[in-house]
Order: sequence, then C-alpha cells, then structure tokens
Amino acid sequence: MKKLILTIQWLEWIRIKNRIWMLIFILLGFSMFAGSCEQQNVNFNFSYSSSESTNQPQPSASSPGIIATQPNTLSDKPQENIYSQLMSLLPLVFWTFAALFLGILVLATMPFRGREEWENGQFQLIFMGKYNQIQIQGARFIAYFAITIAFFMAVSINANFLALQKEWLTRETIINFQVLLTYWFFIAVPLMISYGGLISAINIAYYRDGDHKILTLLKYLGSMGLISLLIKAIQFLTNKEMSLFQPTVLNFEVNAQAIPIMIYWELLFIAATICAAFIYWSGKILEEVES
Amino acid sequence: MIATFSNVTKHYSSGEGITNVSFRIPKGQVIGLLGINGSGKSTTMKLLSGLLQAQHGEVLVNATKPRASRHNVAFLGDRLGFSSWMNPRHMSRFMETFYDDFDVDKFKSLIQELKIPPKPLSEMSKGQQQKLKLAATMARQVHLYLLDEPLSGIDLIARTGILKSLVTNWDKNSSIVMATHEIKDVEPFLDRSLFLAAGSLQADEDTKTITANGTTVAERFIEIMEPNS
Repeated sequence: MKKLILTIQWLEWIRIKNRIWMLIFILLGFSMFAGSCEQQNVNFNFSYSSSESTNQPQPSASSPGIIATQPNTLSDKPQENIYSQLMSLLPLVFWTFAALFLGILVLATMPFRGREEWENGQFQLIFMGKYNQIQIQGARFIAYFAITIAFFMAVSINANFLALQKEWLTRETIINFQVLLTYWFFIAVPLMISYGGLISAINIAYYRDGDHKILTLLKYLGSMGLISLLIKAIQFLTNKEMSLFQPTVLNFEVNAQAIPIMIYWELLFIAATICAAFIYWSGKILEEVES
Repeated sequence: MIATFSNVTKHYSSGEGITNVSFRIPKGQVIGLLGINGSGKSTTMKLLSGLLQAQHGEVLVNATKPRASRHNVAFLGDRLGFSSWMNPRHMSRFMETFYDDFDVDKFKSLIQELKIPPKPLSEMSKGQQQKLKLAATMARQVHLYLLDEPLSGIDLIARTGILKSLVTNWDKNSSIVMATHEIKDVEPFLDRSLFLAAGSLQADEDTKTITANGTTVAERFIEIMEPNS
C-alpha cells in the first residue's frame, strides 16, 4: 500500500502540477502582503499617535510603533485600544482569509479528473493491476490531502507567527485559534476532497454509460440522502446530551474577556465517516466503469 | 488449459458483440484472432481479460472467472494506457507498482531490443508508442497474453523483428492471443487461428492443417470471410 500511495502521489502531483504552482504563487503573494501588514501598522500607529497630541504612546526601543497599541499605554482609553487592535489585525486577517479562500478554490478542483484518462485506457491498465479502485481512490485522497495540509499549515502558521511576533494576540489565544482552525479544517477539507472525487467518478461513469443509467444516479442520490439522515440522527443524539465523546472547551481571551468555545468531536467523527464513504463510493463507481 | 470460452454471448447496446462463441486456449500456443472490423475480436479479448462480463455462457481463465484471475492476464488494448508525459523509465515505475509480475530487467532488455528512445510518449511516433506498450505488456510474467492489434502503427520492416523478439522472449508455459489485421506478418508465428465474422466463430483451425491443404492463413481468411469469391 505504501508503494501505491507514493506512486499515486507522484502521478497526481504531475497531473495537478499547474494547480500546485498556483498554490505556491498564492503563498508567495500572501507572504508578501502579510509581511507588508507590519509597515501599514507602523504607519497607522504613528499617524494615530501623532493625532493624539495629549496622550502620545511611548514607543519602546525593542519594537517601535507596535508598542503604541499596548494595553498599558492605552489602558485609559479602552475604546481606542479595541479600535487600534482591530485595525492592526484587519490587514493580516484579510490577507489570511484571502489566501485560504483562493487556495480552497484551487484545492477543490484537484479531484476532478478528465475523461481522457478513461479514453486513453488508464482505467483498463489500473483495473488489470493488483489494486482495486477503492484503494486507488484512497491513495489519491491522501495525495490531495497532503497538499491541502501543507498549504493550510503554511498560511495559518505564518499568520499566527506574525500575530504572535507583533503581540497582537496572546500565545494561548493563538494556540486556541490554531486548534479551532485545524478542527474545522479536518471537518471541511476531507469532505470537500472526497466529495470532489465522488463527483468526478460519477462524471466519468456517466460519460462511459451514457444516459441509460438514470436509476443508478437515483441510487447514488438516495444514498446521499441516507447519509444526511445519519447526520441528523447523530445530531439528534447529541442534542439529547448523549454525546459519544467528551466535548473540549477552548477558552479564548479577548480584551480580558473569557470566551469559551465548545468542540464536539461527534462532528469530526461524522465527517470522517462520510469522507470514508465517499472514497469507497467513488472507488466502486470507477470499478464499475469498465464492467 | 489456460482459458475456456463456452457458448459466450455479449452484446452492446448498439447491437454489436459476439454470439454463442466457444473455444479453448491450451498452454504454449500462439493463437490468431482474425476477423474484419466489427467481427467481435476486441470484445472477445475484453471478455478474456475480465474487462467485460458475458451475458450468457461462461468464460474461465485458470479455471476461475476472468475478473478473479485478471492478475494472470496481460492485455495490450487499442488505447495508449499511459499518460503522455511518461517515458520508458516512468512506465517501468508505474508497471512495477501495479503489477507484481512485472519484470523490470525483461522490460529494459525489450526496450533495447526494440530500439525505443528514452523520451516521453508524447514525443514518440505511433510506432514507437506501440513498441513501448508491447514491451510493457510482454515484460509481465503471466499465463495469458492478449494482444489487440499489436502491430498497429509499426512499419513493415520492424514488424517481423518485433514478432521474433516477442516469441523469443515468450515463456512457453503461457499462451498468446493476437487479434490482428496483419495476417501475413503474424502467420509464421501462429499455431492456430480463430476466424470471427459478425460476432460468430466461423472456424477454429491449426496452421499445420491449413498449410497441409496447400493454402496460407491469409488465403484461408479470405475464403472464410468471402465464401463466394
């Protein structure tokens, strides 16, 4: 299986090399713009400081400009403090979300495969081999997920590092943000990739079979309905406080206010189940393409 | 016995296919599957490889269903099969991963013997691509080799050399089935011929029997396909 994963990674990364280049350009752009946030912040703080002629913040020797937003300097003016913190964070938040959004647009298209692969006989070649389509779909999922993790980690760690370096957020808040982002990442991204694989498989299967198998399509749609029922059933269970896993509480501290956020692991469990089903499902579809 | 085809019927939605075809493939034979376009040669090949399933009748390879014993079958289809960016080294890596029976050394020696350049498929001529596909297929150690139009795109001069090379490197414990229009080229290598027309098996004859009657396989083919000529 290790050999299959490595070979599929090699094949897939070559197939989607243009998209990988696009991700690298997005990362470079993000680094450039996120890096320039510092300069904007310094300018902003200085202009802000100069306008407050009666209570000028005192820049420190170690970090001039940034210290202007420190609570002890502006503790007498909490409104300005909040405003200043938000404004200083906005450019970084904007560029982070812009990079993630553009990245997700690119990443979401990774599982979509052209019909050419079926047309030029790659399916035949793979079908005759020792691995089945389910194993191959699983290996493809790992290849895409590895790229997605690398991209996500590069953006989020970079953004968190900048925020920490500039002391915009406390270390604990950054760790909690990272956990929260990672949690949502592991829910949303595997679903996105596996669903893309499913759509691509259906597309290829229906290209192969023509419009004679509407019933099969209805069967697939019916199965999707069953999955949504499963989700609702599990949600119903959690609403009745019959949770399978102990929820985790993340405490965020924003402006000396504690904001607890609950993490329910059932959702992650459901996402992983659906993801596995999609991989299995798309593999089954591709197995049937040549039969 | 490597494979048996018993009263097999397979029809496509277009109506084409094969009807009630029966034959056997023993060990150590080179068999020609001969017929005009649309006679059912490729369908027969795909049924033997497990890529298609019979609607009626039974196909057995190594006494099991073709799908279960597909690892014992090497199939050279009419399509390219590999990504166009792949060169022989890439193909070797691909084949090694997907097929346990792929012999890298044999592949390398076939590449040298067939004079295949180390460049991507997209930069190769059709003949070079076909030679490379042939090398990848014949480098597998299986019981049954199914070659659908193996000489397609290959120039006249290279054909005999390629066939000699394949037969020399061929393990006599297996069998080769070749579907081809190039009857004159393959004739010296055939032990037996299956003549297909309009999805039915018209004749199943040994080359020795055909030549004993003073005809060639190509002449016999014309006799069967056009009995009034």
